[in-house]
Amino acid sequence: MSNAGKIARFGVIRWLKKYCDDRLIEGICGDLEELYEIESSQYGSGKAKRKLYWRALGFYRQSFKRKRERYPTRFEALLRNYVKMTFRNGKRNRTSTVINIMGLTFGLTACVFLGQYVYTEWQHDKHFDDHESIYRLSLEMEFGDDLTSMAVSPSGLGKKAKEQIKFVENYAILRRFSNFKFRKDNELIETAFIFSANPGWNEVLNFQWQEGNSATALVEPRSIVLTERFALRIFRSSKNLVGRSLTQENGDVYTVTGIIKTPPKTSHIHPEAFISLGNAQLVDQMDIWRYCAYVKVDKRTPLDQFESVLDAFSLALFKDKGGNGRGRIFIRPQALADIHFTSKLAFEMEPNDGNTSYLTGFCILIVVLLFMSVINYINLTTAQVGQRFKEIAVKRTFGAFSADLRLQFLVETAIYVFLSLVFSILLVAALQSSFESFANLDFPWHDMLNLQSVVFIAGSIIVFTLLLGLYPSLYLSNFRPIKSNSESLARFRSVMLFLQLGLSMVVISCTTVFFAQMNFMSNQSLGYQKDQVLFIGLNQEQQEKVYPLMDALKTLTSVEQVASSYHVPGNPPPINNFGYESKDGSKKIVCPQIYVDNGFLETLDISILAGNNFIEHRLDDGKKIGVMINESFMNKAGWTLDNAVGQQLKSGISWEDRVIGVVPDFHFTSLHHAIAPMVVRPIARGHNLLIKAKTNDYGELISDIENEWKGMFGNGNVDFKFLDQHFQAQYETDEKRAQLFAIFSFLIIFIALSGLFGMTTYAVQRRMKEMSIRKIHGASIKQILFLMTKAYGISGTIAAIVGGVLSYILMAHWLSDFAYSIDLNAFLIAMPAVVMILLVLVIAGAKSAKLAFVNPSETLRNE
Amino acid sequence: MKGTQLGELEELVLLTVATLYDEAYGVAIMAEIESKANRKITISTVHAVLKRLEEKGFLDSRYDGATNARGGRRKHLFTVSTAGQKVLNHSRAIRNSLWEAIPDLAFNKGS
Repeated sequence: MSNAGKIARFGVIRWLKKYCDDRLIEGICGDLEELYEIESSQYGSGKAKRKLYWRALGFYRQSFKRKRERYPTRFEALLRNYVKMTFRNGKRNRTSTVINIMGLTFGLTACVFLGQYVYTEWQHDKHFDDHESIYRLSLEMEFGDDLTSMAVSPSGLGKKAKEQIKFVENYAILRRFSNFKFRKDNELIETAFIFSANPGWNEVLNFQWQEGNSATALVEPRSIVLTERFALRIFRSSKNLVGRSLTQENGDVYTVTGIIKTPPKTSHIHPEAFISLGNAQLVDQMDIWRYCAYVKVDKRTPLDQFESVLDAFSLALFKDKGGNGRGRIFIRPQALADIHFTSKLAFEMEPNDGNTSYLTGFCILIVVLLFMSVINYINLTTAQVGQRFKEIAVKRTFGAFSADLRLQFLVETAIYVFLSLVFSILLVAALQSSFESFANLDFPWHDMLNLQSVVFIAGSIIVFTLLLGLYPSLYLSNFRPIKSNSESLARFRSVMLFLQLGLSMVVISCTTVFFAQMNFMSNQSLGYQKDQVLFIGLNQEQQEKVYPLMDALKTLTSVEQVASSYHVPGNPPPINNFGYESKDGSKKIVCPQIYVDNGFLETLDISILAGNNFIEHRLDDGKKIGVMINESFMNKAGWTLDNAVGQQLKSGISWEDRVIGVVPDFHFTSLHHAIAPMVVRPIARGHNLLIKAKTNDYGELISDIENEWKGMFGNGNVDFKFLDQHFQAQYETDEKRAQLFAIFSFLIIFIALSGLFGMTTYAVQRRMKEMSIRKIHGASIKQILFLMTKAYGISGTIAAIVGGVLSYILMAHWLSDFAYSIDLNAFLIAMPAVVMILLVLVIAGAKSAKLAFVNPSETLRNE
Repeated sequence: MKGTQLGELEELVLLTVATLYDEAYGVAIMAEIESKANRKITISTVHAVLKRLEEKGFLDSRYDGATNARGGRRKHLFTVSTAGQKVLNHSRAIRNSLWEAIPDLAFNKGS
């Protein structure tokens, strides 16, 4: 071949030479060359070349492929045989195949979802650069014997820390405004997530800037930086907005100086926009206690050293005593990523509902779920031994080593795992979006595309496969048909079954108690009537006309009572400190205070234990009407119903109030919080209206209210909420978690019971002849059913008892975390136990019924 | 192993190889089928059929006759084997017997 031809240099021919069989390639290339020659003289070389490419592509078929001229190695042949045996056996034992694959699929799917949940929770605030070296400085203040922890601190704290502590590289101060309205044409756009920040805040809490300059964005007063989502809401676009202006409801005009990417949900703050400080001097002032201070410290700073430096800094800054009986102030650094989970202080900017014990619970669920499917697999595989021992014996006779057999069962397991993986990937793909909307998370899939997580996932799949396959493969490969050890195997299986049932028992009873507690929380008497109460948030215009509005509403037949208030039940009230005189000198109580008017108690059906309600006073002139206290306050102060009225309370420097009444304890916020002392203060012109309906006919009530609104404000857009629903919203995260728990617990039980079903199927097959002989000898149906289900009944009962005790201990511990909890009575544990034992008996019995009704002459015919 | 039945295309190719005696290689077969049967088939299909027929034992092949037009490569030449002759005869016989079995009426109905 001196002349290799013109086409040999084309890529497609070079590849073809690699692909095609050596014996054919010369003829093929020769033909291609010949056709190319003809065509290039006909159409020119360009078109000929194109035609050649198409033609050459036609040769990429199986029949021209280069064959490996060798026999498969022993290993390949074995592997092929293993795969074949797996599918044959799988087909033969359809029940156990279905149960195994289903169990593994559900187990894996559930793990993917739970894993996502746990992972996303752990990601909180980790999107900030260098989050490990960012701390929020919270304060702990001494008031007498009380220690009050709070998230806010003086606005100047951040800057002082930067100037005086050498570790601190930068600081940020943030304050949330939860009631901002911007004008857009004729409507108002409301947002509860506006944060005011110092100009350098992005150096600590960095966001991704789309437009604008992060360093200068908040230098000028009345600057605003929007997130893309909020920009879309206001401008219907998120591009080229720098320089545009925004008008607040009260007429203030803000200039857009930057656009940032919408930050992920996984954060302890969910800003929609940042505005500059109302006053640039705030960063130096020490008397406005409304800002959260964040600092970024040098990466090498040890935490304990930082803490001790902060102690000294605090002592120098706040001295060891302050006004109002304040004692020392401790500055506690909170690691940024911990805030979501652990910080439940006073004056949090947003409630932190992260809960590490739930996360632990979910992790336990993952392990239990996997454990259940592992047990199922092991049990069902080893139960097949009776059927497979012929196969094993033949293989052994033909010289298979134990290692070969072990490998066979491992390969079999790997195939099952692979199939289940495929199914669960399909399931996850199908359910992902509904899961995300249910659990309110955006799973960052793009984060998963790195080597680390791929290795982790591949590694866990291998470990999982080994867990599943190791015992069956060891057991079956050593199986000696002559030396029967089925006795010990049966014992092993029943121990496994017992474990499964015990765990199911724990899961069932924990879920029951869990739900009982949830139910209790939402039905618990709060000390007032929240049903049939609507509340309406008022805007500025409406607040000015609140009294004519209330008078008009009171005349409606559908309305029983109307009140106005500053605080609405379900929203955490602010905290103040109140001083009083006692025989041991002056004391202080730090507690929440709410501002309400004289109709409030009646609207919510709260009685007065002693003294009087507020008098009706409609002028905002600072007239001293007095305050009411709740029972806890009274008890803590050491007063009684007889002498509480008339006591003097002192708060701040300016207020001096007389106690005019005592009200019973009631839960202003969720039952997560215990009843604490509280002060009820009078207000004129509240920001909210509370309306008590006379009947359950809300349709009439709402249309009446809307009519009033039209008459007074020209439109019927009333922003009302039902108080009970609003209150319930506090439990939403809890409820979501409870439902997730319930779903996955149900899965666990389902997997366990399907395993039981599979085991019974085998037992039935194995004992067919035995039971037939018993029948011939006169055993009744009842006796046969009893014989078949006895073992399961016993192990179910023992499992129920052990599991019950265990869950009692667990749940008692869990309930002790709640301020208000159900009594953990035996019934709550016993009922699930009975349900589980019944389920076990029904499943075992239903399968065994087949035996009881079998015709012995059919099963024994061959004998 | 593949069956010994002849497909329609296989039969066509086998017959073409027979007509081209000693000059039967890919391009020639393709051109012959195009001119005689007025049917366009790609060169890769021709090769695939040839390979299949050889595997079934109906064709023998050898390499010979390098030309410049082929870039100095030899032609992959095919001849019909004895088994090939047999199978062609067999299929012809079946056809003939079927043709003979057609009653006169069936095709002459209209006329």
